[in-house]
Amino acid sequence: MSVPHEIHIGEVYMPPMLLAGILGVIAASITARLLNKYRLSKYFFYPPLVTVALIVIYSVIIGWMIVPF
Amino acid sequence: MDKKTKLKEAIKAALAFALVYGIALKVNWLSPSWAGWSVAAIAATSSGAESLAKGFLRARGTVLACIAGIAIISLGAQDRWLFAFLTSAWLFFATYKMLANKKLSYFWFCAAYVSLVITAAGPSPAGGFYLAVFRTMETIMGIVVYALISVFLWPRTNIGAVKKSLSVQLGTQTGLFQELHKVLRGTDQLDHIKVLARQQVKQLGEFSQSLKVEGFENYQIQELLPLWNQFENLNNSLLRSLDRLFGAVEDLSSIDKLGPRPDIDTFFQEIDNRFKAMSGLFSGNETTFEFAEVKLTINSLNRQYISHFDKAVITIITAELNKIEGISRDMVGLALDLTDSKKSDQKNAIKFDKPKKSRGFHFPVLDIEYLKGSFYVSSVVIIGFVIWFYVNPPGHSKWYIMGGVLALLFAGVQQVKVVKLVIPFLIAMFLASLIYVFVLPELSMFYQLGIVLFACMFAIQYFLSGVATVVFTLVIIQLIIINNPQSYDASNLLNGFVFIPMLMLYLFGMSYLTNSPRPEKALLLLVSRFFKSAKYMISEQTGDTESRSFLDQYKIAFYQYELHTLPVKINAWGKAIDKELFPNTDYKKIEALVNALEVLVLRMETLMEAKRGSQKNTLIELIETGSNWNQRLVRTFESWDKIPQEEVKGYSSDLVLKRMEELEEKLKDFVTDNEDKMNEEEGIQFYYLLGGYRGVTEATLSYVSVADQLDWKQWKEERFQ
Repeated sequence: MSVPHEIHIGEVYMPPMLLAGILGVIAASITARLLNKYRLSKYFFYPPLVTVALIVIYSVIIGWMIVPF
Repeated sequence: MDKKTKLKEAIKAALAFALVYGIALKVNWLSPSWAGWSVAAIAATSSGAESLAKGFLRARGTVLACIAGIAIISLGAQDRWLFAFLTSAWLFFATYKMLANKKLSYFWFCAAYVSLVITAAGPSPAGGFYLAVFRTMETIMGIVVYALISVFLWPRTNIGAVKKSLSVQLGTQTGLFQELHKVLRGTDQLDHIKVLARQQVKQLGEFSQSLKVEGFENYQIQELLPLWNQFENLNNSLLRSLDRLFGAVEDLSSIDKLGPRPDIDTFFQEIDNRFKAMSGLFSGNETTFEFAEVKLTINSLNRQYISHFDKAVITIITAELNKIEGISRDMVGLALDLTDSKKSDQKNAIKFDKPKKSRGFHFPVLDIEYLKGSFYVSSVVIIGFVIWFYVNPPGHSKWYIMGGVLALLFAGVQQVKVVKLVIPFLIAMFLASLIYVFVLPELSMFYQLGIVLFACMFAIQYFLSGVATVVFTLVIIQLIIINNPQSYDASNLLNGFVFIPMLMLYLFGMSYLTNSPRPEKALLLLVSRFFKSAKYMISEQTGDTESRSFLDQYKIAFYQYELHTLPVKINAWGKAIDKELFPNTDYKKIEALVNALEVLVLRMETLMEAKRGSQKNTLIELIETGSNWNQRLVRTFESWDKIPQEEVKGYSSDLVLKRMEELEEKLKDFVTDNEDKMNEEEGIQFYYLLGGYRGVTEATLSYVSVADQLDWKQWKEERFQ
């Protein structure tokens, strides 16, 4: 398991959670769009909360597997 | 604006922008960007006079903001929660005033957001008071510099705009009455008039706007402003009367039922003369004409060959035409006063009734959408304050200041999706960053800086428009921070890139506090509120409203206000529905729905007026019949609040249409039995009341047929935003 470390672009450093969070938001947006497109979102009681939950889930998964934080 | 004018305006704005920075840097004032922001804000409007008007509103708003900001700091300096609460309360009040008062909207906007900047400075020696003084001075300096440049360099004014817009509008109204005459004689179709009526609405808006701007710069207009405002109000009344009239004309089963009416020909000739005379007066022509009082009489009761419903419709048409006659009489009187063409014999020839002021206390009705907007802004500010103090993420005090400013911009247009602005902001920030990193450090003299500032503002003003201008100006002023001595902060710049998307997500999340930002959900809620208000107004018993309790009076005023304002709000949310997500939703159908609701409101007003007039009618059976009809309408509106909209057609057609047939039969028998008992006045009131009920019923059925075409089922499904 790789050790959590700061990510840098040139000499600009940023926390790994920021990157995991950004990727999590993008993944959750794609999931939401697909669910809307196939009208599966109607089975959720309150989609805005589901969106927040998806962001957290994806961020944790990405943090665990890709960008450790 | 044509390209040549846009070029000149862009040069003027860019020149003023560079100059104010130069002056502020030369005299070593705090934060020259405030003066730059003042120039950018007032340059965003379309004409010189309008820019100056906006500039003065900005100055007054800044002064009020300074007073409020300093008061908040002095009261809450030692208690952060009191400080946050006072700021939040001030923002709530200022936001409501900004949304409610369209004329002073910009004044309250400035009063709100400048107070955020001042309160964020805190109580230190170089804090609130210091900021307040410099902010006011630099704002006024920005306005003065821009005003001088507007006056001396390619001046552009609005002189004559009021009279020009008025002559266009009077021309449309003359044409409209000529067409209406043809429709009533059966020689033309109503559809032709509707185009003119829509033009009239647009022209009335242009007239109001030009009155506001020219009233600011032209002394003659300013002196007679109360009369001009009264003229504007009469035009609005005329518009509403015409809407009711068109509705009644549509209901006539066949036009020739009016029969040969020489009094109508005389009537329309007189109306035509009046509008032509007004056009002549405002064009500066000496007009000699003689006024005649014309009033139409209702003699439809004696005609046996037309149905009772058509008699009712004819009654309404006659009543509305007489109202229009009264309004046109008042308009001519005002036109004579405004053009100072009073001649004693003509003045005596016209008798116009002064509007009666209703007795009693008048109280303002609170608008629910404005309250939601105000709550949104105050909650964004208070939670932004908490985020700044306890979390302090990238952005720092900007969570409090920028959060509040952007919330103010979106408070009145909550159907705009905030997150869609992230990409434009990032693009603007990237371009501004290039200037900040590669260009600014190379500059050493003011003339070099002046050229850069001139070029930036010119490019924004000339190549961009609308929201893009606001976004780019905001980013340029916030990122390209000029101070003396100048310093550069890369971390601040990069934090900005992280801050903006986080702020947009935060604002988007906060919008769920007031209502769902999903447009279709907001639309469903507004339609439900409309029918709740309609049900209350129909079920209200007629009577002298002033003898009721304060709560009853307020409820009547509130529901009446809701009925008038909800169709516009439904229209705004309808436009925001995403066509990709709702392919079955056509905006034209939503427009038709809104139109049906507006017609329903007008018919309900006619009905309520008729109910007030028929109070003294002693025929008990008439009252009972009307009461039955009333209850059916109330049940219809109540049911629409609860049943799924996809069932509207089946349920309501049954409820309304069949009952109409039964009631018509009952009325026929009633009239046959009571013809001897009714005098002419009672007869007129009876048909006026009947026409009112029929009008509301017809409008209800029209709504049903329009609503049936929309996909309510998909709108009710849950979806991700």
